Amino acid sequence: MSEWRGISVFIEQDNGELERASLEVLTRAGELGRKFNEEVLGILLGHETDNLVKEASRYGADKLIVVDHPDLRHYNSDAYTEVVSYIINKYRPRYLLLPATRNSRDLAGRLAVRFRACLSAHVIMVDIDEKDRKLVTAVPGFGGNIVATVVCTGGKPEMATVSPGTYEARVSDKEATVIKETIPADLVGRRRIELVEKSVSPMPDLSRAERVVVAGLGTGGDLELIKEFANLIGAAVGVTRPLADMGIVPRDYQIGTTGVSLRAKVAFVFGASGAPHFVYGIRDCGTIVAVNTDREAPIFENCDYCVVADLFDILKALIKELGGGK
Amino acid sequence: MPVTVNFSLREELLKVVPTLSLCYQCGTCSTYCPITDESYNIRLLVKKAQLGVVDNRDFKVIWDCVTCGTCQALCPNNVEIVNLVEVIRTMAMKSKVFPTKINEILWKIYENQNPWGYTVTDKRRFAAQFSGLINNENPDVVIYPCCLSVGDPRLQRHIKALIRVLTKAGLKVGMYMGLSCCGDIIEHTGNKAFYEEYTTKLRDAIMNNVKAPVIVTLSPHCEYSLKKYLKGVKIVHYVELLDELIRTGKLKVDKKADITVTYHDPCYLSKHQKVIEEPRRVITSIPGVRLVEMEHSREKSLCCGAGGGGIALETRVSTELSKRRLREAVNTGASVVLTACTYCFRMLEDANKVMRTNLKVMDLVEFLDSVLGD
Amino acid sequence: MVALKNIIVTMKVTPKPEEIRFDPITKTVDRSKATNEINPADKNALELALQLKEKYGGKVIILSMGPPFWDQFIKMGIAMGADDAVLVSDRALGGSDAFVTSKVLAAAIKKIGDYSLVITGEESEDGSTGQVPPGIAEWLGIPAVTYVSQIVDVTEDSIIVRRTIKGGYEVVKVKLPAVLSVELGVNTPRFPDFERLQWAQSEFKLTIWGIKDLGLTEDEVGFKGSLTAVTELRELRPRERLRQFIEGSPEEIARELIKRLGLK
Repeated sequence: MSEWRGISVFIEQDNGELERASLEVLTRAGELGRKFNEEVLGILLGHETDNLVKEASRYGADKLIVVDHPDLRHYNSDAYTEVVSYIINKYRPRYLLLPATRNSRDLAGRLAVRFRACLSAHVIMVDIDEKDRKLVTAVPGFGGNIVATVVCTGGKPEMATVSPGTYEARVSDKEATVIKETIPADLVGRRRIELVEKSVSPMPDLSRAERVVVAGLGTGGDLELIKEFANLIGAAVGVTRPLADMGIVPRDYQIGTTGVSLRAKVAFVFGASGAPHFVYGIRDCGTIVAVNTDREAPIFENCDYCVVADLFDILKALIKELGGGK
Repeated sequence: MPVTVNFSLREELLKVVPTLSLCYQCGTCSTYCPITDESYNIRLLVKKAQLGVVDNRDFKVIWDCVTCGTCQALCPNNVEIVNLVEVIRTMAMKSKVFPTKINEILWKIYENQNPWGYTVTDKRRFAAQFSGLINNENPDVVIYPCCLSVGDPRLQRHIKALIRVLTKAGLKVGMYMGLSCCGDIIEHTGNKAFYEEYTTKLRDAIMNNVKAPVIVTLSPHCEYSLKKYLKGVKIVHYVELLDELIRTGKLKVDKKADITVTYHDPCYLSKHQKVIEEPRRVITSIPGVRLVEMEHSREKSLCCGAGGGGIALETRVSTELSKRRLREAVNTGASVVLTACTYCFRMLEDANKVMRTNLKVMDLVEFLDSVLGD
Repeated sequence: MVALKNIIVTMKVTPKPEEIRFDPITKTVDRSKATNEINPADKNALELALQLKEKYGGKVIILSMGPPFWDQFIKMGIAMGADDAVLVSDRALGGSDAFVTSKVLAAAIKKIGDYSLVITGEESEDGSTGQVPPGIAEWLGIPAVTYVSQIVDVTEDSIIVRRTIKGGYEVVKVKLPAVLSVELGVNTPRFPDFERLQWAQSEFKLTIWGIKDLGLTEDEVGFKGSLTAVTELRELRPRERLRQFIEGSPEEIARELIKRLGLK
């Protein structure tokens, strides 16, 4: 059998929607590929993928392997595991990187056991060791306070899921060579999971928003003024974990270690105390404004402008000054 | 509609609430009950209890009660109606008819020792603020802070005010730093077994740590609750202590304030413990202060909506009640409404934020401290 | 009427993240002073299992892998309404990564046997890998549905569930037996019955298995069996910020912020 070589990246799509986080991972793989002289393979599964292929081939991959099949239009844990396993067995990439999204984490967990391979999850840094070429990652644990350096000690491909927002997606001047793979017919037919119904609404891409307004527990879940203010300044809205726990908004809007990391130029944080797992998610923001009634709140250690006041009073004043409101 | 008397349940209820038999259905309770409406009727509930026909429908509405105790305070035959409510809640809990929010609250108390979700980090920050202000070596009195204040800077100001005022009266003031909920809310959820286990542990912790003969609370709920299971230590609410200190001349109120205030009676002081005159004496001891009463005051006062677990359960009536009460306070023409309870303060202050009145909500001790100055 | 067989719920005990201390000199994590609790998402998993049992029958069995003192937390699960519990406990298991954890749990699930469902929390609070549930499914050769928020229906040979996806949800039908990982916070876990807890503390006998009972050797588990290794720990320090307090009336503050951030 041939040697395990190259860096592969799973490019996630669902029903024709490309997951931007996979392009971030692909860009990073491109950097590593150049540095270590490894070929970069994108793996894209879907149906009627022409537009996706065009987009995905611009982010630094050498080859883009495309499997187009009607049954792959939607993510399916069983079908995707089988098809990606088939591709891995055929191309034998030494590394496999995936975005740390729900579907890719689902897939990664299955593949790791199938290949008896190492998997580092939800990493905030991915690199290759200069000496032994092992995959090295940084994994935040214990609520974002502590980061562990994790190396792969066994199994191939060496895998990691990369936290969305960790790297920036950059268009490359190199275009990937597209390889259309056909798969054995029974590969997707053996699945035990069938889609019954699906409902999605467009999601603002929080990790790429220039301005973000974050609501914390101090809002008590009342997001009316937050949304009005965000609208006025053209900002996206995010929440802290307790608010997502309350079920007020979907978890996709949660900022922090297990949610989205922001790269906004300006972030407003209303009524969040500043737990480490949250602060972690705003670490890459430009200017941070925090409003909290408690002068001792740790959020004030981690922001640029601190306002000790009732957040609703400040929101109302901001809205008024910006010419909004009724 | 004829009903079949359930004799065994009737006997059971009479055993735990013996005064139940004394009700003659005069209707005073439901007339004064602040939440009487088409779904909640306390008089009917007492009758059904007398007949032993309490059912699932009653279990559903029983959680609306704010246990303000107005019914009981005004009942001509002294029927222990609040007790009955708590007993019915225990039955409802057993029949698994209760708001799911209760599960959330109980988990929080189990894991964090408070129903608000304040964590060890919050407690540490709270403790850091007070460590320099208190004397836990040989205190004369020990403050038992309400767990709600752990994460609320406004309530923390009240504690600081109390420390200053008591220090002025020549007392060495300590504080119980366990920062645990007194158990009031567990009791109202009807979970008897957990209440027993929790309060037994808390009792031992308090008795091992408190080195003073007197525990003083800021919340009447803490006072009422601690009195049930703490023995061998005196437990008072601060209004009782301040009243005594002023009357014995240990605390001199020698500053003037030209202001009209009104006073909101916390239910767990006025109705449950008959502490009615003490706060009024403290207020009027300040030269220049004019006290005006609201339409409903003393044992007829209106509940702020927080009682009976309402503040944590966020029942349908709780915020309505706080708004209603604040309107009464506004109508007195006073510029400040005083109260002496962490829950009442928080409910009225929150209502004030929504209603944006010109009235200022203050805790009595904070007010006294501001008059006394440095 | 469909009847479910065993419903196995995995449970982990995790230290509260904020109470964990990091020693920058020894570069080690001190969990000893942290309060432990049942992993939050596992409580949602258990609640979901108990609701399933109430509607479709079956026996809810808690499965855990950890030190013997977890017994007290497992009993909380029994007090919530679980019927039985198994704790896999063995010194050799120390240092196991998610790969080994899924292998050991899968072996225990096989030994328990006769199961319709394996229900887990979406991820653990301390490790947060989320890879154990699909891993278990792979070891067992059964399907997995991750990030489940709701059970829609149970049919003769399948279960229909709703799972959370980016920006919404999907409803999928999956053949039994299957692994379901439950999204954190999708239900309100019932509070334990303290009378049942007293019973559990005095009468309930927890089944404890070592790795030998599962037919595993020391080389297959713990550090030796793991495929990842932690080489270093460090504390993540957020970068220094201005930390400037802005005072004044709400209007003054608003004007100042708008000016400084160039919002207008």
